[in-house]
Amino acid sequence: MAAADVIFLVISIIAVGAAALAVTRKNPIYSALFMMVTLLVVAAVFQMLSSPFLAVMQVLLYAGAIMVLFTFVIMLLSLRPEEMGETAPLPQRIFAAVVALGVFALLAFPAIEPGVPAAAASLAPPAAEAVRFPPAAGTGDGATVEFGATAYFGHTIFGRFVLPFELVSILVLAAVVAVMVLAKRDLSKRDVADDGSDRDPPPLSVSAAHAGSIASLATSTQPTSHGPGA
Amino acid sequence: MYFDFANVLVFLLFGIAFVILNVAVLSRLMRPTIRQPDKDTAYECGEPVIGSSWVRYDMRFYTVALIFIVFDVEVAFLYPWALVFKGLKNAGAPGGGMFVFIEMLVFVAILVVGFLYVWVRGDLEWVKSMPESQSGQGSGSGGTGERAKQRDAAPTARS
Amino acid sequence: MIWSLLVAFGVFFILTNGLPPALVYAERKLAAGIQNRVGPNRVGPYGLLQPIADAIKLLFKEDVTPRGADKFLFSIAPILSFVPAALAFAIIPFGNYAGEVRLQVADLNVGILFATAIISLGAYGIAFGGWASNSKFPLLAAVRSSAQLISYEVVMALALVAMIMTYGTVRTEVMVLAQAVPLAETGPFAYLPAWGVFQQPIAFVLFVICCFAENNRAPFDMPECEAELVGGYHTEYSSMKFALFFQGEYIAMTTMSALIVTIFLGGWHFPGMDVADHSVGMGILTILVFMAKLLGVLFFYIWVRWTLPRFRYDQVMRLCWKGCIPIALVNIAITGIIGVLYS
Repeated sequence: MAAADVIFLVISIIAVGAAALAVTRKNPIYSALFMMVTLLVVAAVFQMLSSPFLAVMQVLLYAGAIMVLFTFVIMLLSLRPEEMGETAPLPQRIFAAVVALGVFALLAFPAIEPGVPAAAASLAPPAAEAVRFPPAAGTGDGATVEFGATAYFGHTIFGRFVLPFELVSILVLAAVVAVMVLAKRDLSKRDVADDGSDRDPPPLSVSAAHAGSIASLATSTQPTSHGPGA
Repeated sequence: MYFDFANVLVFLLFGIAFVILNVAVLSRLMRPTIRQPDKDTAYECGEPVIGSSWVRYDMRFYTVALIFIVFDVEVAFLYPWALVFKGLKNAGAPGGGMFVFIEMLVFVAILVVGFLYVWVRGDLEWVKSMPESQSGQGSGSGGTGERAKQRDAAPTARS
Repeated sequence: MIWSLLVAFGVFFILTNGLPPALVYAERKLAAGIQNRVGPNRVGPYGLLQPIADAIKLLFKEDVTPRGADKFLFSIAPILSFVPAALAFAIIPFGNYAGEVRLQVADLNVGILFATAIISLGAYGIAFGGWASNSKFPLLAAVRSSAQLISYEVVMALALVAMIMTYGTVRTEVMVLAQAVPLAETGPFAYLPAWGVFQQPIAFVLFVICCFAENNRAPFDMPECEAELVGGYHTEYSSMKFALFFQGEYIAMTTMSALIVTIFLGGWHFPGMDVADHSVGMGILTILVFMAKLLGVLFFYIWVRWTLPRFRYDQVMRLCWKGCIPIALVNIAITGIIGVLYS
């Protein structure tokens, strides 16, 4: 085995192990932690596939941004022990297993079906395209744009895939609006929900000068009715 | 390139080794361990601890994190663009450099629309309107654009 | 091979064990000077051994984990805060060549993007550290601080985009070389080097603000504002775990300063130096130039901390989302227009 194979083996074991841990942990914050490990290791896989830019974006966006959001949500919800660790009902678990196996089969299909890599290769840009936009002197990443480098992405996205790129912005705009609507709806629902459910924190914008100030903490501690030393 | 990433890996291993050496070996050998129940209580200014501190807190942190992700995605596209927009201009991409520039301008403009939407709705406002919540209308429900406009029109409403 | 290992080890050692004690001493002495006090003066001549005494004291301190804390996360949080800060330094070119030896730990072709990605992981150390303590002040500090970190990360990235547009590269080494030329061919600006700070003053100011915010330094030291949050996210930490947080903060400060020097202040180059000269003597000279610039920026850090009052949290967030981000976007647009029209 070459050194690269050994590294890949180690990386894969860590990735799969961390993913398994992420699924099986009962405390969501541990799931988040191990998922972060998985994402970081996947970044290493990208690097091994000679795509350093993708690797860095994986770290920046997934490990550094999306997992931070997950952590935020977990910390925000602060599930009590009795609220987490509830196992899903059996039909749901069977359904989940079927879906997971289906996704696995879909991903494994190219590996066993010899026709697929060839078809995928025909979709890839021809080698000549990589040099269709040679950067002018003093710009770009050196004299040639090698596959996977940051400049290669620039040339490909802004040359060949202009329309998908612009559509992405629409998608992101929709995400922004959806975010605001969802976040707000939650808030207003809590305002009208006076069915005495003590699980709901008080209206969240009452805090004074600083959000998360001691005052808001005190007000939000009360209704959750934790006993001392809970 | 592999070689350079190997160097990064070496650096990472140095870091982890240093931490383990300090915390798990050096400090463990030297430090005393005298157990006392009072020592293990969380700090709360000398008062007895009230409840767990894992409480729910403000929604706005969540909103900030979400907007942050949107901007991070935008930046992920800006990086390769920033690198090549001059190069493409000189090398005869479709329409030249101006085309690539306008492409990105449209992309950013669409996102700025989203950003302005958030701004106008008052979700970037860290201190929300206090008097409204005191007037019994129920705070935090200022979801409609109208309410948000009212807030923007009356900055004195902020405490 | 053996040389690059030695370089890596040397950089790591100076970064983690050489600079932080010196910075702690400098910080205390400068703070004392600014506040018209004497500062540490008992341990050793002029109190020079004070940081060493502090380190030994921390080694002998008992390690207490609060009851009800999440023990595993509580233990790994300092590592998550310490390691990324040091790791990001790997891409900094701290000198030209000394003979055959390249004075940079790793010259990645993603360069500066690697640093931003690694720095973005720093939020976990604070978030987990504060959350795992199961104590109110650390939790508040952790939440505040992570929100602040991610907000200013956006501004930092946008400022960087403008710099990448200016230099046309993401590799730190090439960035330094791009700054090693005069700003203009003729005229009064021919005497100035083409440093990033002269080419992109707005991006420079934004980047410096972000560095302060990312390091949780005053005036952005929300996570540990003593008056409100006791010790911030490390209130419950003691012994070496606390020391790691403390050290990690100074390492992060050094890394950020090194980024400022590399991107905006010409890196290891000084006007008049020949970049093609790869002799050992020249290599050492470039290291000295880099160190001088680095210490200058670090001095600025300390100076600001003891001069400016702390922001309120809503002011921090407003400055970021309503001040810095619009300015950074406009800056990119202007840079783009200039780049498209005159290049």
